[in-house]
Amino acid sequence: MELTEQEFLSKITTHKGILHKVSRMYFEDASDREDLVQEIILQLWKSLKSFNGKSQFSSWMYRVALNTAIVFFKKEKRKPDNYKMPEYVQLADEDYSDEKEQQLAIFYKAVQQLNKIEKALIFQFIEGFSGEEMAKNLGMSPGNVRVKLNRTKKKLREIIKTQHHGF
Amino acid sequence: MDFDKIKELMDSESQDDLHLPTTLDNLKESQMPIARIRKMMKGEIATQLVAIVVFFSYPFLIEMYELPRAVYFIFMFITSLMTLGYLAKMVWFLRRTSNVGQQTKETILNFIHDIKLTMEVYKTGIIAGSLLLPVSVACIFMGAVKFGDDYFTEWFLLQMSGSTLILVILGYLLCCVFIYYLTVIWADKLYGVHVRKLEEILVELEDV
Repeated sequence: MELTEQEFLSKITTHKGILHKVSRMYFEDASDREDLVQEIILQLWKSLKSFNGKSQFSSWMYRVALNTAIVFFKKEKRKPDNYKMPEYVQLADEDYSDEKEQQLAIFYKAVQQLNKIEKALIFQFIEGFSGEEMAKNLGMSPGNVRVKLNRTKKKLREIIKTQHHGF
Repeated sequence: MDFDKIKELMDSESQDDLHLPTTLDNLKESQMPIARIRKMMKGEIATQLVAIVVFFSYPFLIEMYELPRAVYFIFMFITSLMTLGYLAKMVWFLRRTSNVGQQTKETILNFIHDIKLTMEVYKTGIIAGSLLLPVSVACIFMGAVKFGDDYFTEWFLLQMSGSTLILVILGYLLCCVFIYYLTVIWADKLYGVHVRKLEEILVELEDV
């Protein structure tokens, strides 16, 4: 597909929710999320020629964004110390304006304990992708997607339950 | 856990903290493993080409005895030919991967295949080079006029006692092994770490 830089950026802005959600799924830290979003935009621009317009721009954007997030590695940062507070303590300390916000925060926190492929699977499941679409996006067999997705959902529930936040 | 509710919450979440660039020039350089490997390879090609020129110019800057000088040029010529061989393979690799777009499973698989092929050629070149390099280094240090008499000719024509010869052979082999491992560790630090990261992703994508 041929697009000028401004047309491309305009399309990205229209679908910026995809960038926001993918980056939220993959990183907690705001600067890591920003780096990932930049990388996704770069990869989208580089692979724009491969988009033939047969599918929707948003479907293609989901695929590129997820595959970029899977291969993206955040920069190593020096941590102030090695002590890590238990998850439930960290969550309890944070101030949330309402219950919905807290539920989403708990979900994102739990998701951080999944590996990159599990994150991609659960994200696509939430977004309503079919098993076939997930398989195509990740280059996996539909059977493999089904098994891994079921395991991931179970794992996610366990993580949330362990953190005493069943919802 | 109600995933529909989660989706609803995700969709309604504020996106105020998401700052999109107004122009693509503002974007940072790609940090993807594929882009990093390509960048380092470009740097290595340039460095090795400069090194060839420097090594060939060196005997013109210092006064050397005739035999070590001739041996130096012959060995450096062969080493440079081998170096150019694997540099050509690296250029082939860079050309093949110049249009890598989406980082899909197939792209990663092809990339790993190509980088491994290139690294095999690189390692073969390094093994051969590490056998020749100690002689060139000996030419420089033992055949330079400023370091005294021409010890190199004596050494090269094996004019030494049996025990000294054994020591020289052992020293030579140690040098070869040292140069080889140093280069392999260096190559692993430059490329291997990124290749392993990509391989880990492939393992996670594998069938259960």
